Amino acid sequence: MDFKFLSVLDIVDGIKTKKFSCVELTKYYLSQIEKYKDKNAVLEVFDDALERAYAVDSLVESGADLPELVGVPILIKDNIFYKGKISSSASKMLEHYVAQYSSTVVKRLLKAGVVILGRTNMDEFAMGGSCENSAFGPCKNAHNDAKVSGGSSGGSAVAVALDMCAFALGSDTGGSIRQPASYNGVVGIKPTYARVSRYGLVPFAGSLDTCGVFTRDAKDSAYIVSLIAGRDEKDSSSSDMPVDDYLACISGSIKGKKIAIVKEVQELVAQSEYKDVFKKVIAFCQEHGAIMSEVSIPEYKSVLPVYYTIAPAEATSNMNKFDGVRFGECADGETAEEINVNSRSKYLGREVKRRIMLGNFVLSSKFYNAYYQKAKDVAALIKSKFVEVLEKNDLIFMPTTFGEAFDIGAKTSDPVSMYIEDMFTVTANIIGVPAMSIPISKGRLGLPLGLQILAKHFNEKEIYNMADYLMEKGGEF
Amino acid sequence: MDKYRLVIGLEVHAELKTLSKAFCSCKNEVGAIPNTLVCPVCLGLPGASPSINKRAIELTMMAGLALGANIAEEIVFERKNYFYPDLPKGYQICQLRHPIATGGVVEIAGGKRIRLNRIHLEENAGKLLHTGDGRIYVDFNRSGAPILEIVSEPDFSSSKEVVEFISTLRNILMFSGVSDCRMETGGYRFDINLSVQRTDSAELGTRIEMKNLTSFKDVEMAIDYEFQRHIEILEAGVEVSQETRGWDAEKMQTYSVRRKESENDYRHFPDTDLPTITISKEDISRVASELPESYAKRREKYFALGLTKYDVDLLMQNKYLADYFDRVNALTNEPKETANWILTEILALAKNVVDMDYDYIISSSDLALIINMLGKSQISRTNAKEVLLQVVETGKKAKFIVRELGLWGDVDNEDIEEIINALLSENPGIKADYLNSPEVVSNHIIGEVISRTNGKARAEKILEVLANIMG
Amino acid sequence: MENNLITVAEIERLAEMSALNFSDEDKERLIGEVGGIISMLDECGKIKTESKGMSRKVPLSALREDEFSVGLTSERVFVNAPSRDGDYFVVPEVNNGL
Repeated sequence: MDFKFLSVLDIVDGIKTKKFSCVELTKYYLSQIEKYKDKNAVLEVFDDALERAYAVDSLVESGADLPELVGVPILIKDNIFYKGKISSSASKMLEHYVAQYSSTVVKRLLKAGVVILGRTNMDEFAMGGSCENSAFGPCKNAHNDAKVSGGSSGGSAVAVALDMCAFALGSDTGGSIRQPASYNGVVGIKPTYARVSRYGLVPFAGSLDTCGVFTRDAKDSAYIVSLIAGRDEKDSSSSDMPVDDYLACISGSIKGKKIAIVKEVQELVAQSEYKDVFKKVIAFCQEHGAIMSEVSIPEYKSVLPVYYTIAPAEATSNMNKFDGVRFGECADGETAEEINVNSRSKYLGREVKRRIMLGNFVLSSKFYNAYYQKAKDVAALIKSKFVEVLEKNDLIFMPTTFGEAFDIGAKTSDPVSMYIEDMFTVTANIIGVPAMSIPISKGRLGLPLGLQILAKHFNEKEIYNMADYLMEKGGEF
Repeated sequence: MDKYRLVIGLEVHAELKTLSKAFCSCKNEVGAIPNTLVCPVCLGLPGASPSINKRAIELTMMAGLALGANIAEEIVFERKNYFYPDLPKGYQICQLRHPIATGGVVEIAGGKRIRLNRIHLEENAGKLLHTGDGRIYVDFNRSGAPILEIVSEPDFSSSKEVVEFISTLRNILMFSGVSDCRMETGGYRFDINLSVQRTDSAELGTRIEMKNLTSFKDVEMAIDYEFQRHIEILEAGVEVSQETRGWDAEKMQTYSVRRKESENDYRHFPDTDLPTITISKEDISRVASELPESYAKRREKYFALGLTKYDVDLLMQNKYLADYFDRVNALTNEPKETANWILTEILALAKNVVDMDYDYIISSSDLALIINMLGKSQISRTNAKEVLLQVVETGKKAKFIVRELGLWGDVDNEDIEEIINALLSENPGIKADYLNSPEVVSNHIIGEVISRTNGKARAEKILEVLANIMG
Repeated sequence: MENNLITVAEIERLAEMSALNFSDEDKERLIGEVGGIISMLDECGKIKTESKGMSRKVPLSALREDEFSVGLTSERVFVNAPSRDGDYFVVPEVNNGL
């Protein structure tokens, strides 16, 4: 049996109709993980993965009703809790931290029948855009060992690109799903803020964090997100808006769809390899009945400073809990203060420390109004502008990144150059709308380029319809 | 005129009376086994998200209403960031920029009105047990429990005023059902901001801060100590340094506490895990309608009943005591006599403990019975006290004791009925005999009842009841 | 990129608030890094804003009712604890406690 690049929908069908067993499939993925070990995409393969696969097969044999994702082997990002398993957020601080409860996404997926194979590499505490900030070594790009995988959910993106699992979970605070999806040529969605429960996701910045998934096509993503989305009593911020059957919303037509592109964004990529790709995508969409228009948001560039003020501010406070008292690694010290400072200094990585410092700067009483409050105000302004555009349009197209994946080590000594990479992805987090990156073309080095599609709040269905159409009918631009 | 003047502002913390904690569903209870009332939220484990307890907000609104404060239309929770082993998240959820209530006033003795700045809701920290050998044991049961913070304007000019204020405030909070203000477990505690200025100068003195005082006595002594210390420094021509000071209750002196940068700047910012809460006019009137009779109204009511200021002050020192008085008085309608009994005999029996349910000592109906008998001169005062003591000692009903002691005065129909019924069950044949020769049996029963009541029942009453029973 | 707000003293102030220790070398590096980032953040200040940043609003009635439920079992409470004695977490004494 050839398992190569099976879609989730094909897997569910194959297992239900006994074309293959879950154990065979799991063994295939485990061999893929082993084969690409050097990519450093997977931090741990759970020792009960095969056992769970056997359990799926006996369930199939028993003739019982089978759930929606029966026997689908998946990987989860290392900051999403799975009860009884280590969940380290790729940090030395949590190297031995055992999750005491499962996150709601994991619970819902387990109920739907998945087999969780292991946990994937990431930037420590999801702070980073290259997966080089992992305490356990960088994860390399799926298609080129010298390039970054992107981040923070680099491991999940690479795992899906190299067929180490059927799909993978990620989290996205400023592009942590979409950017690595773009760099590795897979589909990555950040749903609307509060669409998917954050319970059991180690927080980076609570007002921006969103759980999402990596898949190889849009239909799989639609199917999975329908299952994990929806109100969760354990996350009081989660939305009680009804969840669409996203798969059923894929209509096979984009006729009459209104698509906006942002002038200021296009200007930023005017010199890049995206220029021609965008021309082709726009022509294709118009040919197929979509209505394209250009809008102007002069304040666009400020999304980056807004993001790099708000996210570190929240992060710094979230990181306070790592004090060596209740959990986490604990360094030596004579007093409680010493233990706190020594543990944090020893077990937190450089980027995490930098963001903690930055967060404390923007929150300091003397800088609060000039930085934190100002960023919140600008965020409100940008949000209102985008909401206005989305009232008149179904979708916004943007590049996901400035170009192909960059070299490992190229930006590590210059945080600002690293942060600029997030220019196109942070927007959807600031305004809270859903956004997806789909592979759309290849760059000069033959590495993937992603197209980012944004929609109104809770309008994932428009994204899925468009993404599926572009991938099925458009192919590579 | 004094050369120096004290200027004091207060922050008062009181634990709220809720069933669950402020931001999670763990039980809000004092005295459980350590670390058994905890969950990922109040333990500050990663990945858990808080959820606001509606009742905690309503109780804070209630405190605001009882203190004449304005209730906000929108309230926001913020994070106050600092490190301490009792603070699991490394920040405390509290309110700074959009508190639940602002303003309000408390009138203390002498009619001085202390203005309030704000009333807000925040979460408690865990409890630290210092072993004394260099270690701290941490219990997070209290972590996340809702506490009320009341901030006054700097309106106090003496320790006496401060103590009057915290005592009056405590009554108001207790009588409005917001908090039990348990002082012995730190459920009612105080931060003091104090400065001393020359009376002949408009220039403000340097402010010091004293945190976490837990008794009225400590508050009084710490303030008096600081006043003297400031005067001595100023007299020496030196500047007072702005700092935080602790109170050593054993040495009866204050000491300087070094503060870290993180405690000088708490970096408050809105907690994005929690939404802004909107309060409607309907919400406010619903909470107001729930507010029990106010402390001031209750005092007025007692004065109207003819109680003295001494009685009222004593009764109103505690809601349990005042409630007990109300229950007894409802049965006696003898306010003065009832107050005397409660404030002398009952309080003495309770060993002056004020935080308790006095029905455990003697039920309000039994105490009322004793007072009523005394009122009708059915027993002497000495005997009344004897009955009370025996009830407390034996746990028997007052009526039984009275009868046992042979103090039964004018027995009522109910008593006679009880005795006749007892006679009938002792000797079931009586009923048949009565039908045959009523007079003989009647005389026999009259004799028995008179004997069993020590001659206190009258014959015609007995006949009346007997006729009723025999139909 | 340097930023005049970020000096060694400021880095030390931020480090104390962050409960982090840095070597002198690290502090020098951070002056450049944090200073550079803050210069980038200054862009925000140039944008005119009228409205205030807002957060999600919820009516009082939508909040959780005051009911309690059972929390974590003792075993779960302490499983990741660096130091425990019986029912308690244990840490060394604080420097200068209140």
